[in-house]
Amino acid sequence: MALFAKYLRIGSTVKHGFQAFPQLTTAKYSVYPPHFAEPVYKKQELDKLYESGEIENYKLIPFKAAKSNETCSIFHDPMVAKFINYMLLKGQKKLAREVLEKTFEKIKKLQLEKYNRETDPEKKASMIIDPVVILKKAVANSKPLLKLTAVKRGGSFYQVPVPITDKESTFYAMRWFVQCGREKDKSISFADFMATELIKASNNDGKVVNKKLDLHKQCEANRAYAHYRWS
Amino acid sequence: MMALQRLFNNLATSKLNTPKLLSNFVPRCSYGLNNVGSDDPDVEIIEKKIVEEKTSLAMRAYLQRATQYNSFMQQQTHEYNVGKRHLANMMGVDPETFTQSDIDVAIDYLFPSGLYDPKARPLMKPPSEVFPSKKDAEFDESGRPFHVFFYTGKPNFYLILHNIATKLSELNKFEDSLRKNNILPDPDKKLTSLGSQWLSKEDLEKLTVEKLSDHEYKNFVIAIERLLKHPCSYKYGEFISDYQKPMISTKAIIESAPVEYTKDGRAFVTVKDCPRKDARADVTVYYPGTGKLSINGKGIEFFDDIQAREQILFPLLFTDMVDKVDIHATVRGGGVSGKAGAIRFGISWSLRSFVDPETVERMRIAGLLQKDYRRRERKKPGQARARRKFTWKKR
Amino acid sequence: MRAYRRLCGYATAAVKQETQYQIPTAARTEKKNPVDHDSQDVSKFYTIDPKTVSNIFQTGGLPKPFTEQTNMFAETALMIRQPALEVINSLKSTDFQKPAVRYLLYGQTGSGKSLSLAHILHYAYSSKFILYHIPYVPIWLKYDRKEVNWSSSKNGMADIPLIAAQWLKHFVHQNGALLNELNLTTSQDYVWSQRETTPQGTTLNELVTHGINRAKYACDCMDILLNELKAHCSNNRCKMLVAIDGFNAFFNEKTDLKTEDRVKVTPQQITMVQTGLSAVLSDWNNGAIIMVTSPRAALNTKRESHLPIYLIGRQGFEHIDPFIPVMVPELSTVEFNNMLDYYEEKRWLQKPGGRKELEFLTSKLPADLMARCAPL
Repeated sequence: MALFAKYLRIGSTVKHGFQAFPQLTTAKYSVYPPHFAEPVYKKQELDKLYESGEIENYKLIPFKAAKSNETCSIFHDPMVAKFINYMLLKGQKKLAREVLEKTFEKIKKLQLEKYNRETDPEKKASMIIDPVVILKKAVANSKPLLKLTAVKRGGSFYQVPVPITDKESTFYAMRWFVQCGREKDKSISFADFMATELIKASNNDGKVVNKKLDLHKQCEANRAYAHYRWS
Repeated sequence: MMALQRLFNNLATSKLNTPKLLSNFVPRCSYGLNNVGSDDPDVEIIEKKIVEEKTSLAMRAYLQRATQYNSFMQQQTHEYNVGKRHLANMMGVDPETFTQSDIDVAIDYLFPSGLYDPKARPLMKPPSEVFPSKKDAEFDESGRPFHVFFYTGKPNFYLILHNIATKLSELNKFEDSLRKNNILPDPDKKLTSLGSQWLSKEDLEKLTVEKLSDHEYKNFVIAIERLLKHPCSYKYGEFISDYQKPMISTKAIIESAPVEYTKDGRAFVTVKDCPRKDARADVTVYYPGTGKLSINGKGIEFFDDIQAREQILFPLLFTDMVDKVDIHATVRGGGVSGKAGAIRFGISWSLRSFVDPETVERMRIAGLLQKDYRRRERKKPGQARARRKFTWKKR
Repeated sequence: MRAYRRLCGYATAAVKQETQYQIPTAARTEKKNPVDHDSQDVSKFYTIDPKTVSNIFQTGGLPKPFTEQTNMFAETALMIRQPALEVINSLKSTDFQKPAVRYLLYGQTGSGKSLSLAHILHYAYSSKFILYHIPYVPIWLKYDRKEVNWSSSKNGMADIPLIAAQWLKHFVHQNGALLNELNLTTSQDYVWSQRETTPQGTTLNELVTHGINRAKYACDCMDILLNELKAHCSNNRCKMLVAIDGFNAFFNEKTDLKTEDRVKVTPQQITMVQTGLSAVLSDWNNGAIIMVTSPRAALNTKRESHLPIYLIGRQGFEHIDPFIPVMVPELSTVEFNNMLDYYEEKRWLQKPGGRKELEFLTSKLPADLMARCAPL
C-alpha cells in the first residue's frame, strides 16, 4: 500500500502550521470582499507571528469578523469545532455540541475505569484519558490515503484510485464517524456509540478504521485503472 | 481634465481649447478643386467652405457639447465658490478657512432633512464630485482623432494596457541584460501586493472616463498582476502604484469611542447599537472594575447556552481583562446567538480605549473589531429556500 | 506512519507535560465524622465511608450527577462549606428542650444546597438523630401516576400509596437500626380495618413494615409515624431531624396527578404533603427541622427569582415563620480552586489552566462547574 502510494507521488501530510501570509479565501458568494482574510484568534499563533515578524503582512489586510463558535479559550479546538459541524443536522448547533460533550464525558468515564483498574505504572502513564487527544488520534487513524472516483472511459465508468489532499482526507475520516453513528442501532445513544467508536479507532480498530482499510483494499484492487486518471 | 492630461503623457497633443481650433484651421489640401492657392495662411479660401461645412457639422455639434460642458462646469465651480463664501459669512466663520466638512455641518444645520437615504438629503459639494466628468473633444474638426487608440473605442483604457505591455517587454529585456552578466534580479526589491488592492472596476471607469465591461476589467487585472509578478517590476513601481489602493483604512478602528468619567472618577465607554443579525446592544464598560457583568439586569445566567457565554468571554479573555472591567449591557431583538454576538462586539469596541494599540491590532486580526454584516439570505422564487432547489423531477 | 507517530507524540507529549506540570492534590481533611468538623475545615474535602453512604443515601438524598461522579472517582467526597457548618454548629449548641428550630437553606439552582443537606444528614446520623428525610418532594408530585386514590380516612384528600410505601422503605433503611436500639413503641391502638389493627406497644419498625406491606394504608402510616415520633421526642426518648429537600414544591399551584375519576389534585390535597407540612410545625422538641427551597422544585412555574418568599409564597411563609434562613452561596475563590484541584487530581479535568474562564462561564456555581468540566 505504501509502495502504491509512492507510485502515485503523494506528498507527506503537511503539518498544519499557521500560514506565512494570511489566508485569503475566495468565496463564491460572500458578504466580505475577496481581499478580506480569515481571522487568527489563538493567542499562541499570534505570538508566533509577532516573534517571526510576519505580523507586518497581517497589518495591511482587513480581517473578517470572528465566528460565533470560535474563541481564544484553551478549551476550544478547531478540529472539535469542525467535528461538531459535521454532526450538525438542521442547524441545531446547540444539540450537536451537547451530544459531543456527552461523548467526551463517556470517553473519559470509560478510559478512567480502565485507568483505575490498571496496575502496571508504564501502561498507566501511557493511557490517554483526554477525549480531544483520542478524537485526534482516531481521526488520524481513519484518514484514507486515496479515494475512488468514477472516470468514464469508452462508455463505462471505472472506479479509479486517486490521491487526495490532507484536508479532504480529514473530511472523509470525520464524516465516516458521523455516518456510522447515523447507521447505528436505535437502542444505543449516539454519545455511547461515538465514545466506543472513537476509542476503538484510536486503537486502530472498529467500524471506521475498517472502512478505511476496505477503501485501501479496493484501491489496491483497482490499481490497474490508475492510469485512467490521465488516460 | 487633469486625468486626461496624465494619460496623454506619451503623445504630443494640441491644446484642446476649441475657439483656438477654429482660428487655427488649416486647409486640408492646398491644391484641389479650384487650383487657387495662397501663401498667406490668414487668407481664407471660399471654395473650401463646402468641405469645411461637411466635416464640421458633426464636429460642430460635438464641439458644441464639449464647450457647453466646459462652460457649465466653470459656471458651477464659480457658483460653488461664491456660495461657499456666502455660507461662511452666514455661519460667521472666516471664508478663507471654510473647509468641506464645515460646509457639510452648515448644510445639515440649515437644511435639516428627515429623509432616509443619505443621498437624497441636501448637499453642497464641489461640482467635480457631483457631476460626472466627460471627455473633451476627441478629434479635431477634420475628424482626425487626437488619441492613437481612438479607434479602439476606449482609448484611455487600451492605452493603460498598452503601457503595461510595453513596460513588460522592457522589463524582460532588462532582466535578459542582467542575466547576461550573471546577475540575478534583487529579490529584496521585489514588489508585493500585500496591503494594497487593484483599483476596482468603478475606480478604473472613473479614471478613464470610459465604461468598461467585466471582461475588460478582468483583462486589466491579469495584465497588471503579470507586470507586478515580474522580478524587476520595482523599476516601474510608481506606475504600478498608480493603479493600486490600500486594502484597509484603519481610521475607524484607531479612533476609539470617547472615554467618559463617572462622579467617582471611574472611566467608562458606552457603545450604542452594536449590531449582529437583528440584535442590537448598548454596552458600557467601566475600566477599573472587578469582573461584574450585567445583561438586561441579570448576570451571565441571562444566557443558558454555553456558546453564547463563551462569546461574551472571548474579548475579555483575549485582552486579559476578565476581572479588570465591569460590564453593563442592554440587548434587544434577534435570537440567542445574535444577542451574544452584539454584546461581544460592544465589549471589544469599548475595550479599545482601555488597552494599548498593539492589543487593538491583535483584536482586529482576531476578528473582534469587525462588524459581522452577514444576514439571513433571502428565499428566491423558483427555489424551495435560499439555496435548496425544488426536487428535480426528470419528467 | 510518521504522521501517526507525530500524533502519538502529541499524546505522549501530553503525558510528558503531566510530569512537568504537577497534578495538584485537593485539600482534604482526615475527619470522617462531621461532629468534628470546624471552621478550619472550610473548603476542604472529606470522604464518607461507603457503608455510611449506603446506610443513609442508598434510597435517596444525593443528587444523581453526584452519585455518578462518586462511582467514577470510587469515593464519596463532600466539600465542607460554610452554610452546612453553620447549621451543624447551631445544632450542636441548641437547647433541645425548646421547640424544634426551623432552618431554611436557599440559593440559586446548582449552588450546593442538596449536598449541604447531605452533610447535615451525615452529622445527624452520626449523632444518633432519627432522620425524617424527604429526599426530593417533586418526586411525589411529578408525573401522571396511575395509583392516586381518594383517602379513606381523610375527607377530600388523595393518597399515593406506592410512593408512600417507597418512602417508608427509605425511612426504615435509614433508621431501622436506630429504632431497634431505642425500642420505640406505639402509644395507642391503630385500627386499619375490621381485621387489621396495630395494637398499642408495637415497635415503630413493625408499624412501618405494616405500612410497606399494606400500601393501601401507607399514607396513614406515615402520618401516624410522624405523630408517634413527635410524641417520643417531646418525651425526651429520642432526637429527630426533619430534612425536606424541595420544600417549596408543597406550595406549587398544581400537579399532573389525577385520580381514577380523572380529577386533578393540587399538592395541598395530598395527604403526604399535609404530613410533610405538619412535620415542619414546632409543636415538638428535641429536634430540628431543615428545609431546602430550590427553584427547580417549582417545576417550571416560578422562574423569576430563587428567593424563598417568592417560591413558597405568603401562605408558605406564614406556615414556617419563624425560621432561620441560611443562604448557600456560590463557591468562594478558595473553594473553587480546591474543587478544580480535586477534579484534576481525579484526572477528570484533563486540561490544566483556564480557571478564569471556568469562573466566568459558570459564575462559580458547583453544579454548573461539574457540568462544564465533564467534557473538558
